[in-house]
Amino acid sequence: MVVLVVEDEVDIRELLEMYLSAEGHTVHLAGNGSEAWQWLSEPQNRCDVVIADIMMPVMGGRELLRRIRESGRTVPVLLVSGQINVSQEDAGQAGAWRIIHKPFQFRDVSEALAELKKPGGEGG
Amino acid sequence: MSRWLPAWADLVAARLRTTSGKWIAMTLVFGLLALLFHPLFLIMGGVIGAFTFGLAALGGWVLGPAGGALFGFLSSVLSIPLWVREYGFSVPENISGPIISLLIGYGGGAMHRIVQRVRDQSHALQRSNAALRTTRMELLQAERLALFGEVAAGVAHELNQPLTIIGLSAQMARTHLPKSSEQPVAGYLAKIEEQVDRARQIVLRLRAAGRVNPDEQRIDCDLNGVVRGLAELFEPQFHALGIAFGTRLSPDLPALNCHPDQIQQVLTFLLLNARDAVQESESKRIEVVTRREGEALLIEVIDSGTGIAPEHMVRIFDPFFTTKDIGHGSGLGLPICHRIVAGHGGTIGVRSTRGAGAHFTVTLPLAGVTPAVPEDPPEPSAAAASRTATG
Repeated sequence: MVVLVVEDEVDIRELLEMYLSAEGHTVHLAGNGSEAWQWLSEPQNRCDVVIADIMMPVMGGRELLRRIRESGRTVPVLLVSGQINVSQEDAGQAGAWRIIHKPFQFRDVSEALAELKKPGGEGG
Repeated sequence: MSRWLPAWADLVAARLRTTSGKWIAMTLVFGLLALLFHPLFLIMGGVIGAFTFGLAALGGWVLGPAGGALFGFLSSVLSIPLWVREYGFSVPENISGPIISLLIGYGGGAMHRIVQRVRDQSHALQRSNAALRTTRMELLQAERLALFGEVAAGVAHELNQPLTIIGLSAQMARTHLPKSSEQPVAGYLAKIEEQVDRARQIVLRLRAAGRVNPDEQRIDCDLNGVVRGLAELFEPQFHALGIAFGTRLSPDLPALNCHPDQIQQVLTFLLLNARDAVQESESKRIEVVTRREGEALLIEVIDSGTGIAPEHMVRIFDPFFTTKDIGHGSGLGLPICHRIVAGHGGTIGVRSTRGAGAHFTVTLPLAGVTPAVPEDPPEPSAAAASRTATG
């Protein structure tokens, strides 16, 4: 799978890159929503899933998600939240495929991605 | 009393217990005594009058203005033969007596109404004062909870970043270990992950504690799960304090439709309360029991602490009532628990023997009962009346 990881915390970003690459995924990195949006706007760039932190400087995950949905893209977005008060329903209403809370484990991410790969999973 | 006497006697007794009732009764008794011993007194006219008038006033007190006037008039008319026998027939006296009695009977009734009204108003005032205090207390608590929520959210958020990095790094380090690596390193990494997981649980709980959402929907929740979660949190602390802590959770409890956070809040308070209670007693034991009783689930928190003094039993659910030192108890915990439980249509009660611990029982009905609005305390006289009616 092609995964776009949008995370401002460089350590988390790199750890996710290492892990997901080792799992056999192709990983693209972005430091905030704006960078991610730029990358996505390039016609040659395609990804199967976006993993985005909610709280980031310049542009957060929610704004990125809004733009993705407004542009008509159906790519599943996995939001990562360090905040309280963000429930699965909130995220769903905003158009996110699902949400995981920090501190998360690699397992949480791989389980989510495995679900996407399953036939019938969003984004198939 | 109500067992042997008819209802009206109960009513008379209730009225006699009031201050004005006592004065009228004294007048009556004085009049009666004067009548009995009248050969010893030569000025009897006034005494018989006092008796008659006293009787009229009492009639008014018990029967109300109209009844009192009629009663005063009739009793005075009936006393005319006595009057005539003693003093001979005299038109002005024999006519003025019943009229004055009528007026006094009416006056007695009116006075009772006024006294009653003043008392009603002062009761209403007391009630609204109490309601105001409760509201103020709830506001304070809500403010405190909101502040706590903000702090908890902030702390959770700040801790999340480093915890994520530590946890992911440890996991990554483990995957990079050669298969033949020495066991201790793998063990240490596992420990880091374990502790991150523990910290993560604490953050999750902070998150739960910080969530203040009055519009939160009730959900079907596993009561035993709530108890277990808290028990895990409290266990290390209790262990450090030398408290033997245990749970007896009834298996197969049906799901309870509730606000889990609120139930958690109640249980947290009861556990903290139990912890403080066993602090000074020799045997330190705390037990949490869950079970089903009919159509309700029960949570019991039993401690081997100092217990609750009988004189405090009636007050422990009162706002601001506390026996703890200043700064250690706000006196808000139990009233809030009470309110939360009432909001779930349930009850909270306590049994205690001084020196032998306390046993709190929270009863939560399984059916989604509409929140019970706490009723105003009934009128004392109405309560007496209803007791009479039912007893």
